[in-house]
Amino acid sequence: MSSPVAVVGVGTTDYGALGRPADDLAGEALRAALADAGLSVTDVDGLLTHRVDSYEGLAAEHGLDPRWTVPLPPEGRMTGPAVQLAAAALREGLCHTVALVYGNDGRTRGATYGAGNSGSTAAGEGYGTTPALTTPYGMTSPGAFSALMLQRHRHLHGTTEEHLATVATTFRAHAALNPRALRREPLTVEDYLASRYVVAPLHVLDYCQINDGGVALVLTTLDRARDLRRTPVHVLAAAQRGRLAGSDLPPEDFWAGALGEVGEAVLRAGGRRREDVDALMVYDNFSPNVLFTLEGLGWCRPGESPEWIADGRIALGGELPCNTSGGQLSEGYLQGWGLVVEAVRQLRGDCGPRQVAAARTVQYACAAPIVSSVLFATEA
Amino acid sequence: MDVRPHIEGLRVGELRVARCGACGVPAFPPPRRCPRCGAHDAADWFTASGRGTVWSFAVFHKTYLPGHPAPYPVAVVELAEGPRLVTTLTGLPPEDLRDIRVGRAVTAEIDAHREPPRVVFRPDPEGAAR
Repeated sequence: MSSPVAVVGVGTTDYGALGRPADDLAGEALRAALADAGLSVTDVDGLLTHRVDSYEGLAAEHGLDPRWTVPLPPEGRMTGPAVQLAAAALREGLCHTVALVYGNDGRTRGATYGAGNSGSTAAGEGYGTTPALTTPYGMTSPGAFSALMLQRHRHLHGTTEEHLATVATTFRAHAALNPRALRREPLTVEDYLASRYVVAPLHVLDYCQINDGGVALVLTTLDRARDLRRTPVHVLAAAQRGRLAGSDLPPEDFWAGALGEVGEAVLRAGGRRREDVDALMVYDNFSPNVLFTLEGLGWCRPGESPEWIADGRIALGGELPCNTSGGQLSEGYLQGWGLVVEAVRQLRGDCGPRQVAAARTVQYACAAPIVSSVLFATEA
Repeated sequence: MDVRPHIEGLRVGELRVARCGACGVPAFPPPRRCPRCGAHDAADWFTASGRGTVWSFAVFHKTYLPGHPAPYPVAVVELAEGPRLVTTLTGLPPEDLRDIRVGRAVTAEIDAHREPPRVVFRPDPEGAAR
């Protein structure tokens, strides 16, 4: 890499039912990230926005006239690609300091991700390109797509509800150590099993917490980063692979092929081995995705994740702590951005009681019709 | 993707799906370019037998859409000829939804008079000869 890139500022708002527009939350997060970096808006010459209503309004509100502006469509699968794209723009010299700004008012707006009022694209209603073949049968919602995948996994590999409960209970225990998390009350396997189904076999506790919030990151080149107030967190590598062809139906391989590819790509480009990864931030819109991601990245063999996670491996103190913030299941759904910020905070050592000891390398991964991964580290 | 031949087939009581006319790979809904051999605009529409198996399924316990009160099942059925489609299952009282299994043999029933027309699948009797 000719010109390494680093995260030099992060900002987050409160989470929950906030009653404020997405762009207002995004703007607050932007200000917070700039303050964290010790920069002002005049230092920003690149702007990437995600999920906000108006990139133009947001830029105007904060007096930004960037050299490089990219608004991305609202799906959560865009978060890894967003970091990849901003890093590429910096390496290419298209700009020197990029603000990545995200705002979501889905909870205030009453988004249900399935009933047609999420104000989003077809991806807000369910995966796929051809609603004429699905809605006449009552097929809707990304959760139902995940439920179909889980049922298939259960059939092939014997995955049980008790196995899957480990994901929700582990992340809830992490959330108890995170003051920002929406759901901090203890959760037992028994609570999980007794909870209602939404689209069976998924329980309500397998669904992320629909949320309002803003997140912003400031990225710059390492030569500039060294002069700023916070210790830089390196963006070592990022990769993506589409699984868009055939995306009307659940993927035969639970996205394992694409996950394996992007996982190997970021480790190779970052000069790391899998054992070097100190924590993994997994896109947990629904808990089965955690199983699919662990298998796809090669932490265990296909079908072995239910057993692999059973003995505390993905908990704080385990072999591979995952979603130390509580993840989207318990901290709150911010389409991956909360997980990216947690990766940065872990590498800064800012996580207090949920700190992963001596964390030096943290990976973000998202299993979706665009599979992506980003590798962050304390050193190049 | 062009699904009109499928919908028009259902209107006249036929289950029409597609495969690649060049290499034969099942491709439904049919993309412009075959995912296996790369042939363009080569969709070969044919009338399926209506026999298939449950590839996966899920049971909605939440009502999202008007006209689809929970509980109801949604299934991905793999047709004997290869293509898979999203559908629903019929002939199962709500208390028996737990008895659906992946791999269960099912047969198509077409409701041509509904708007839009639909193809739903009824589980074959357990142990039925195929």
